[in-house]
Amino acid sequence: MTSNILRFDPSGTNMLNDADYNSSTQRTNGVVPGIAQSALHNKLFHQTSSVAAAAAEALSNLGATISDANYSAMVTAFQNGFASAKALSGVEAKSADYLLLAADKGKAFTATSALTFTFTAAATLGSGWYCYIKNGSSGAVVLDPDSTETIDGATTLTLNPDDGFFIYCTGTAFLTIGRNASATQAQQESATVTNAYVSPGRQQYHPSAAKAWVNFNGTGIVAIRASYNITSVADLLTGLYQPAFTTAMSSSDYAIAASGNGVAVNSGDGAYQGPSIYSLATTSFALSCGSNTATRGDWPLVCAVVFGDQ
Amino acid sequence: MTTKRIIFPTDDGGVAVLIPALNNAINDQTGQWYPLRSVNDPLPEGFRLCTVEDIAAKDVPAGKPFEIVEAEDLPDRSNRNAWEWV
Repeated sequence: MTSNILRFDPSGTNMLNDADYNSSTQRTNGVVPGIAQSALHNKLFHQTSSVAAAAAEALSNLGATISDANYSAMVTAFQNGFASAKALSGVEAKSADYLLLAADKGKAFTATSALTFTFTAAATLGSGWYCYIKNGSSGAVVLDPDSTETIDGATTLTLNPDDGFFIYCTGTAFLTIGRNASATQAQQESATVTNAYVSPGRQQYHPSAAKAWVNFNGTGIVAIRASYNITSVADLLTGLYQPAFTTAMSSSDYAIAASGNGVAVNSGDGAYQGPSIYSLATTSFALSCGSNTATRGDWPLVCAVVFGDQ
Repeated sequence: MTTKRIIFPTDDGGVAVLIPALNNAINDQTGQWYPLRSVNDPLPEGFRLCTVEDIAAKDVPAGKPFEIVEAEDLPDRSNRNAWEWV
């Protein structure tokens, strides 16, 4: 402890109790000429010095030297203490490369485009410096510590879109808290990364995941009952239907699992031919539904699920 | 579900009928489409729900004329393969 601000009468000897101090007219109205009440003044000095000593001790525990012989140093220590404890004043948006400075301690940043955050040297920022960074863009955001300094052991760290975490300085390097990288589309498609989590907006890129599905009524007024990643179903001819993808496939080498019923939605008597794949294109596919003769027929229930690369 | 249908001529003189699926979103700035589970789901930032007109612009083959009609105004399907674009 490096503080000489001490409590007055810490044992509480010859001191008014709280109730008497509360009701004392000299406390509420001020002292008057006459004999000073030592117990009253002991209580006064005890309370005020306790608050001052507690503040001084807290600052000294944080590394400051507190002495009534150096008033300006005390002011500086209080300022630093308040600055460290300040609440986040909002999130700063960055759209271009940015150098993180000592003054950025405690700030939160969101990148609105692909960019690089470079860091001032760890020794300059000092142990205890910290900030929050989020990638709010659709591109890659790179964290690049000074020279050969590292962050989580690497010389650079890339935030995928929507990633964000807490970064702090040890004085020689940077570490993160809450870093859970979300998988990119490429990582989902390669399906080999095991240290990234899958977000709802990208799970469908995994090769094992269905890319589209549709359930529609191909009779009467042809209508879609439910679908995903389908913008329309084209009724081309009797028994010939062509769903179109919202997000296209990357090639026409994909697989379709199609089924349905040529009689009714809930019927065990559905031994009609098909549906067979009439055509495959990156933007759509067509299904041909058979009848119990050699011609196509409208089906009340047509279902298709698509697998492949998008 | 919409009661609207998009009709356009096929290459052999017939008529194709597009049944629109409106559970999709579009970004007017980028032109990107985004599939949705339903029209009631939250939209990705910058996207809006698509319209029948958006789907016509996307799925009607380029250069073909089209019309947006009510499904109930389409003819009976009993002679579906004989429909002609006039």
